[in-house]
Amino acid sequence: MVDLDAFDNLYGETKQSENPFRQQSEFEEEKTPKILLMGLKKSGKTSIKHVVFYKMPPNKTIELESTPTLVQSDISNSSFIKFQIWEFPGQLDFFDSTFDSIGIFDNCQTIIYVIDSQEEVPESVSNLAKTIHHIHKNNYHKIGNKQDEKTIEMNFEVFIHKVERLTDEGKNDLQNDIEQRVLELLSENNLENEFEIRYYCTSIYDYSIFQAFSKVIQRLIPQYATLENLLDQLVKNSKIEKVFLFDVLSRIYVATDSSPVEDDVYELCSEFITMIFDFSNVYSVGKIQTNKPIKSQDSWISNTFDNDINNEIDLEIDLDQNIQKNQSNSNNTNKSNKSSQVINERNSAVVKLQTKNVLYFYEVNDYLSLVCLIPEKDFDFQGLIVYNFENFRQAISQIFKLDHINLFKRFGSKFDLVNREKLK
Amino acid sequence: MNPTKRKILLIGRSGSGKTSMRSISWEFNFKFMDCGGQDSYLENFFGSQRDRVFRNVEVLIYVFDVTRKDTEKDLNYLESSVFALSEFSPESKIFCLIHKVDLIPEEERENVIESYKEEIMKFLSKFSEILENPLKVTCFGTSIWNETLFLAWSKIVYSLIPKIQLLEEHLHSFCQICDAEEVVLFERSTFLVISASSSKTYQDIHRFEKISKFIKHFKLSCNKAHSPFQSMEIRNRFFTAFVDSFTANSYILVIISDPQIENAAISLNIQVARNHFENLVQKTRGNDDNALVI
Repeated sequence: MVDLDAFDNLYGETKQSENPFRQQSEFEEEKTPKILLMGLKKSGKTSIKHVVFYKMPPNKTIELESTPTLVQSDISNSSFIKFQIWEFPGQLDFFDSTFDSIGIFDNCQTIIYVIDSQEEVPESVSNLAKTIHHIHKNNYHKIGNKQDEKTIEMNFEVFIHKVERLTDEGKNDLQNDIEQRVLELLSENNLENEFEIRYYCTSIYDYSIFQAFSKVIQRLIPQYATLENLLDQLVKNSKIEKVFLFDVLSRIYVATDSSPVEDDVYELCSEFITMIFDFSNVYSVGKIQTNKPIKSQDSWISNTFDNDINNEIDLEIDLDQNIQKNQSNSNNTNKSNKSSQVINERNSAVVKLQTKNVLYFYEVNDYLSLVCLIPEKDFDFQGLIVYNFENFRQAISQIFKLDHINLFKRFGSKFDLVNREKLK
Repeated sequence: MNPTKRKILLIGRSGSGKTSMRSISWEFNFKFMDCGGQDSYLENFFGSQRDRVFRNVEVLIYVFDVTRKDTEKDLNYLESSVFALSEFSPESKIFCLIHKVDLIPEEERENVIESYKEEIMKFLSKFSEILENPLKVTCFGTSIWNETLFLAWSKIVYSLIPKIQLLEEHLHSFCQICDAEEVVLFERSTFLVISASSSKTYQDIHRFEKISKFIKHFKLSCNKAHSPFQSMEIRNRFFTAFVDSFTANSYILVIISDPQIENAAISLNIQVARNHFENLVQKTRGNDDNALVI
C-alpha cells in the first residue's frame, strides 16, 4: 500500500511514530540498534544521512551545514528496521578523557566510518585506527548483557566516500590501499585480527550509497539467514531471476536471494518503486480520506499483518489461534486460486520490458515490498506467483513478529510454496 | 529529404533559451528548424534565405527572453516573420513563448507576463488589416524549471494534429465505455500530452506533466539497464493504472477506480481500442502524407 502518512513522516526527523507496529515498549527501547556515523569533518556524514533517509536530492547536499554536535536521528518512521543513527561531529575529540563516551558507544551495534576519498585520506585512516583502538581498549565493542556473557560484536563498516569521479579500477586500488594501511596501523597494537572490517566505495550521486547501507542494515537483522533462505525458495518455485525485499521508504533492500546483485537490476527495481510511489501520489489525491467500505476478505488494506501487530501484546495467548488463522487464510487463497478468481488484492505493479522480462512489485506491508525480475514466459501464470508471494508475506510476518518474544525458531521458516510441477 | 516536408520554425535571439528548451526533444514527422540566434544569422533568414526558410512552415515558435528590456528588436524580427509567413505559409500558426519567467519574482510574474503578452498582441494587431489571412497567435509564459514549458509544448503538439476534435470525441467515448476515471494520450517520444478525457474533476491540474515526467524518467532508467520499457500496470486500493503503447506514435494511460473491473478486461479494451484508433488516425490523415500522425 502506498501510505502517504508514512511518506510524510519521512521528513520528520525525530517525530515519534504513531504506528502500532512501532509501539515503544521498554523491551524494544533496549533493543533498538544504534548506528554511529563517524569520520573527519566534511567527509560527508550528514549528506549520506539526508540522501538515504530524508530523500534529499544529492545536489542539494552542498547546502547542508556542518554538524556541530552529536545528532541522534530515529529512523523508525522511515524504515522497517528500527534503528537510530547517531552522527558524531568530525571535530569532536572523544579521546578527551572528560568526554563521556560510554553513553555514546552503549548499545552501538554498528560504526560506519566515512573516509572522504578526495581529501585527507591518510589523516582519516589514522583516525579510524585510533578510534578502533580506543573502542577496543574500553571494551565498547562487546554489546549486550555482560553478566551472562551473551555479547555480540560491534560491526565496523568503512565507507570510502565521494568516489564519483573514480573509475572502477581506481576504486579498487584505493580500497586496497586503505585496507592495507588500516591493517598496518592496527597491527601496531596487535589488533589486526580482532575485527572484521568491511569496506564499501560509495557516492551519493549513484546507488552505491544505498547498496552499502543495505548491506550494513542486513548485518543488523538477526533473521537474515532465514530471510535469504525464504527468498531462495521463492526464487526457485516461482522461477524468478532476482528478488529484493525492499524497505520502500528508504529504498534499502532488507534482503535478497543468494544470487549476486547486479547494480543495474537493483537500480531499476529501486527506480520502479520510486515511480510507483510518485505515480500513486498523483492519482490518490483526495481519495485518502474517503473510507470505502471494505469487505473483510478483501485485503485492500494490509489487514493480516497489521492486525497481528496490533494484537502483539496478547500474542502469547493468541499464538495458536493466529497460526490457525493464517492456515485458514492460505486455505482460502488456495481455494480461490483453484476457482481461478483474481486473488490479487494487495498493492502490486507490473512493468513489461522489451527484453521479455517483467518487473513485479508486491506489497508486503506498509514498510516492505517484494520487487522481482521474472522472465515474461514464467509470469503468464500470475496466480501462482501471487499465491507464493502471499505465503511468503505471511511467513515473514511471522518471523518478525515472533522474534519479538523469541519464539521465531519454533515457527520461523514454515511456509508452503507451489511450483508449476507440483500444480500439475 | 522531402522538399515539401513541413516544418516547425524556432526563432529567437541569442541567449533567449531556445536550445535548453529543446531538451524536450521530439522526433515528429516534421522538420524541426532551430534558427541560430545571432543577429547575423537572423538577418540572413529574413534576407537571402527568406523563401527557403519560411516555405512549408506549419508552426512558428518565437522565443522572447522575458528578462530583456529591448523588446523592439524582437518585435521587428517577429514582424518580418509574420510577413514572410503570410507570403510563403499563410496557414501557419504562431506561438510566442515568453521564456525564462522563473527569473521574475513570483509575485510579479503574472503581471509581467500579461503586459508582455499585451505588448506583443497590440504590436501584431497593427498588421491584421494589411494581411490577407487572419493571424493565429498564442502566447505563453514559460520556464524550463516548471510545468509551463510542458503545457506550451503540449498545446503546440495539439495544434499540429489534424482533426484533433474527432480524436477527442473517440477518446471520450472510450473513457466512458471502459468506465475509466481518466484516459490520457501521450505522444510516444516526448511523452507530451496530446489529449485527455476525464469522468471526474481532479484538483491537481499539473498531474499530466508529473506523470509524464515520472514515466519519462523511469523509461530512461529502463534504457540504462538495457531493458527498454514496454508497458505498465499499477494496482492499489484507490485505482488501477495502465500505461501501454497505443497507436504508432502514442502511449495511452487508463485510470480505473472501480476495483471490480478486472485487469484483463481493461487490457482487452485497450487492445480493441488500439485498432480502432489506428484506423481513425489513418482516416483523419487523409491524403496528407505530411500530417502529424499519432
